[in-house]
Amino acid sequence: MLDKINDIKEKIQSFSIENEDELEAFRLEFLSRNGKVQSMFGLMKDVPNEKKAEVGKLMNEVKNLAHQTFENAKVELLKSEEKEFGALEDITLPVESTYTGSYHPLNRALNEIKQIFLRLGFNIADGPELEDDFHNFTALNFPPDHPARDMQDTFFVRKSEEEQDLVLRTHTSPVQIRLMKEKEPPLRSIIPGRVFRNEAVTAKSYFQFNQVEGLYVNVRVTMGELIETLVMFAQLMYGSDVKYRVRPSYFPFTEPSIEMDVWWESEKGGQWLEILGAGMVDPNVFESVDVDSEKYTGFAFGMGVDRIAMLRYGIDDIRLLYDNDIRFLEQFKS
Amino acid sequence: MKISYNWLKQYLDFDLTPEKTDEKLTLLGLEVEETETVGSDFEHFVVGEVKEVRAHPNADKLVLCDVDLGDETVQIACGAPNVSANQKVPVAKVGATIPVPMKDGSYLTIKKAKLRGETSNGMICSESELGLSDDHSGIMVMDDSIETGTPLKTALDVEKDTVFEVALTPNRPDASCHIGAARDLSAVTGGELKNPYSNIDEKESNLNDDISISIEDEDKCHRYVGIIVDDVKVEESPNWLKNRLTAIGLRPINNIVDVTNFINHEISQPLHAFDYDLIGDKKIVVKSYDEEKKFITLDSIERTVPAGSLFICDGNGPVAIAGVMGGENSEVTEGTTKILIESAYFNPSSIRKTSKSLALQTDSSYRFERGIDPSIQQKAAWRAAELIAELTGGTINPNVVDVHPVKTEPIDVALRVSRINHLLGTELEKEQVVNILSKLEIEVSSSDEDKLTCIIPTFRPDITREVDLIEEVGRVYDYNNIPRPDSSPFISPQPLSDREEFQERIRELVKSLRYKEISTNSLLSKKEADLLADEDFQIHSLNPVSQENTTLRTHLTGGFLKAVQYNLNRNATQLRFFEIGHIFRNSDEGTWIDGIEEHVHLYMGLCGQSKKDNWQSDENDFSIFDLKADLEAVFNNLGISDSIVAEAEGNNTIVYKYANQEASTLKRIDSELLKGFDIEADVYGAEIDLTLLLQNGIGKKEMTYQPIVKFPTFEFDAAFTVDKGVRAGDLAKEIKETAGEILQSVSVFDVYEGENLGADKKSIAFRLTFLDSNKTLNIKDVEPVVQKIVQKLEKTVGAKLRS
Repeated sequence: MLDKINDIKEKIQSFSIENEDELEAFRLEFLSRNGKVQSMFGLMKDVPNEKKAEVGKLMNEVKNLAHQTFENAKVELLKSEEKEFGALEDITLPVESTYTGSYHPLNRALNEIKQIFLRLGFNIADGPELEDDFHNFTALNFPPDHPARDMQDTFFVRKSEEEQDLVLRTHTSPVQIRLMKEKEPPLRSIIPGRVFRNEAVTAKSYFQFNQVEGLYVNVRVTMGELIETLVMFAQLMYGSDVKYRVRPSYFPFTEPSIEMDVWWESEKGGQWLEILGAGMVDPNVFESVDVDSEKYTGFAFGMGVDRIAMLRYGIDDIRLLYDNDIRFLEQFKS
Repeated sequence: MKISYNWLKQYLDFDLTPEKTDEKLTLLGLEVEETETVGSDFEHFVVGEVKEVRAHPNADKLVLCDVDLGDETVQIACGAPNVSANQKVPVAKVGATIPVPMKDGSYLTIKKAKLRGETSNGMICSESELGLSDDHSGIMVMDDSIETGTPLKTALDVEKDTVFEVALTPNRPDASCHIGAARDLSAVTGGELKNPYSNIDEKESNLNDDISISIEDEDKCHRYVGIIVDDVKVEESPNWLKNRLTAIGLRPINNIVDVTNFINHEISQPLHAFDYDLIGDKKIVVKSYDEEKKFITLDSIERTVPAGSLFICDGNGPVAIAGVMGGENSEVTEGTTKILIESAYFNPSSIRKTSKSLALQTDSSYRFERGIDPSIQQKAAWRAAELIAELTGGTINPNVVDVHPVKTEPIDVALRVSRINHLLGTELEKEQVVNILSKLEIEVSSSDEDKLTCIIPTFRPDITREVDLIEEVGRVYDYNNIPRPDSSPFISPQPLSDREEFQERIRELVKSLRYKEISTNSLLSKKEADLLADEDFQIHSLNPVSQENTTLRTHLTGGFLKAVQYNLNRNATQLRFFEIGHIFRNSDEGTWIDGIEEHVHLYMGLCGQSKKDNWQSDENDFSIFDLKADLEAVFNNLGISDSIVAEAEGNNTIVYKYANQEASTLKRIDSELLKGFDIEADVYGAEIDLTLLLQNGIGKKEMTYQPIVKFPTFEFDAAFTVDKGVRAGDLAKEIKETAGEILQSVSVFDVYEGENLGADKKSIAFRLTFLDSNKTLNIKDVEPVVQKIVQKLEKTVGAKLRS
């Protein structure tokens, strides 16, 4: 009995499988319903009870060997088949990577800023790029002879005695006025958008750029909260270990006014770099939109997106942002 | 504006290093943009005496000098042509560092050296090497009377100084001088301000026989003080005065002009000194003219001064442009022996207008246009007179003329301590507040529980309201010291606006269609604008920055085409761009501003190859149908495919209408436009009016799952022969309308022209896909529908079913 089993085992081991036909022959001889493995188990009934365990174990080993040999041979055959392929089937043929879409770096930077302020509970609002004098200057407490109202600094679209002047907005702050006119406080919004200054196109200046404005008006808004908000922004934008400082500044539409600097390390060494201007909404601004400045206080801030994008991506020429050279755009991958 | 560290110390004792002072000034709101070290203390520099000069044995261009340094005599090699025995010369001894950097930016320290085999123990310096002037033609030769061995610092009477370039905000006219900056510093250091003006008494105006002064234009000149100093000797100023002025970048001129400049930078009172003998009729009249005036200023330039500008005139006419610059005709010169000192207050906006229109900003106009202290004029005049008398040996005429038609009194402003803490988020006590204010010379005249009445000094015209005082307290307290709030009381966040959500959804969608975002100019040239829209629609800048950027974009097309042209010129082959931006048109209705349509548009454009030539396939150019498919993908994603109506205009444009309004156009860019933008390639573009879609309520993203139909679709192919002029799009539309809901989709799988059809015929083969949500369709269900379609098409366009 054991000899018979060992004989099958030997046959399995010595069977040569070099092609599909031989593989099939192997299957028929050993693994089919009438194959040697199946018929080997038929012998079990003649085995005395006390030997059944030992023989059964051996038979199972042989059965496993047959299956194993078959599977191994099959994989080997497949592999050898793949060694032969047509010229156009060569999987190593180089391809061109698929053309992908991308966001402009200004929008990537803006998106980062937006995501931070969304987390800080701000809504996102918008307004026109072509503004009237009231929204761009008067309501924001710019005195009549302020230099920004000069043709040298601002693009005018209409300048007349009878009607309001129209300008390309010089900042996103006029949207503050629109928001406060439209809705009672509390207000908590950022306003991204394009703004314009009458400047020549050079590596450092351009006649258009992008800002993000912020406004929060409520009862009991404090300078402490403003600074806290700006610090949270700076930490989320530039890392939690960012070194910052707040210093007094001046804007017509906020009082007190501040600017925030962050410490910036570069090849030239470290220096303070201004990242935004801010302040508490000036009572005159509240008055121009009929908000009670005793009851409500508020803060506003503004930052330049172009500048942030240039810092972020190491862009040293502002014109690159508006040339739309595909070799530049391609670098801003998803 | 420049502030000198040494000069500040004249008014305040403080022990801050220059670096710390820089930081303190900045944190007070006097932002230091740049810090510069000027001059030198000349350590290891002495005055030496050249004893003997002999030839260098190994070098023609060098000589060897024995130089007595007081305590020793050393040999120094020198290459200067003018060195000779018995000269007194500045010597940098071994260990001295030359204060002027070398070409590479580093500083040379003198070591014991051998030059061509001969020892040299130091260096005889030129003026340029000492940073005293640009003269490097030879060594500096000093006065014989100076004792040999005197430290150079003593001999030259110079000092090292640090100068801060301060970017002064327009609300701080008081800080445009050293006393103002020192006052701010005293508020944070606690030191006592030493103000030389507090000891000067004003005198009654005493109409003087020597001069008559009158103000005709009292709106523009509120005060004019004149003091005469006689018997002056115009000379070079002493070193201390020259050092002050050179440190802040001013060129010393003479002891009279230098004093006026000194006072201006000390207390921010611009002064002018006239040569008394050149004043016609011995009278000064302050007036403005109704007409333009030509006038030669003391820099010998003839300027055309606009009508309405304020002048200082004598009996013959103008002698100075008030507050801006004096005239050549009354300038103090070497021969001057008697002067009139002018100390006046001019209206800031009047000076600003004049200075701006002349494009001439002077140290004087810079201060007047910000608004100087209207109370300081007489005191400043006395201080100047005393200094001039001291330096020139002159005699002050004790009579002062002080014409003061518009008086400014200090104002009272109420301040609540509770309001400070309310606005700043601080917990300041009343005492702290009073202390801060007193350092700024803001006196608290009375106070009850919470409310302080503050007297605002006249040098602070910017403080008129409680909030202005709160800023003063805040900046001195230092905003960085405000405690972080215990909690951040965020109001309940509001949902994102439909616009924001819609716009960002579109941006993401178009990017997923593999478009690259561009950012183009809002302003185009007139020529470019004319190619895109009629003049009636265009809005122009009245003061364009250049002719390239005069007109607001009426479409996004122009910017896209410029980007295409830019890239084609740089050999780019595959351009697939999009932009979202504002467009501007004159219109009957206004979006935000009356008469101006300002909409947000989306632009999608293609140019070049959709596929490059490679082993898989030949190159393939973009076609209008690639863009059409992408555009329809946008409509499909917005869920408006069924409600948007496409209308072909000719064969290069499709206009897509939503609710009967033009929502989008798809174009093969026409050749004229391409030529206008200098492009030699096929370009396709689609522009979509997002504002219009948003106004029609497309912004909301509402999605509901539709159950998937369990039954299979049934496809039926039908080819029709039609006249060539018949539009495939019209046929498809007709088919859809005739078939009704059972028809799920229509596509075209073949278009064919051939002689067997007839010369003016074509065949269009449609694949109709039917679906019923309740049963499996078979040919019997579909046949009647197909019949209906065939009959309809035959009737409307004479179409014949081919198969």
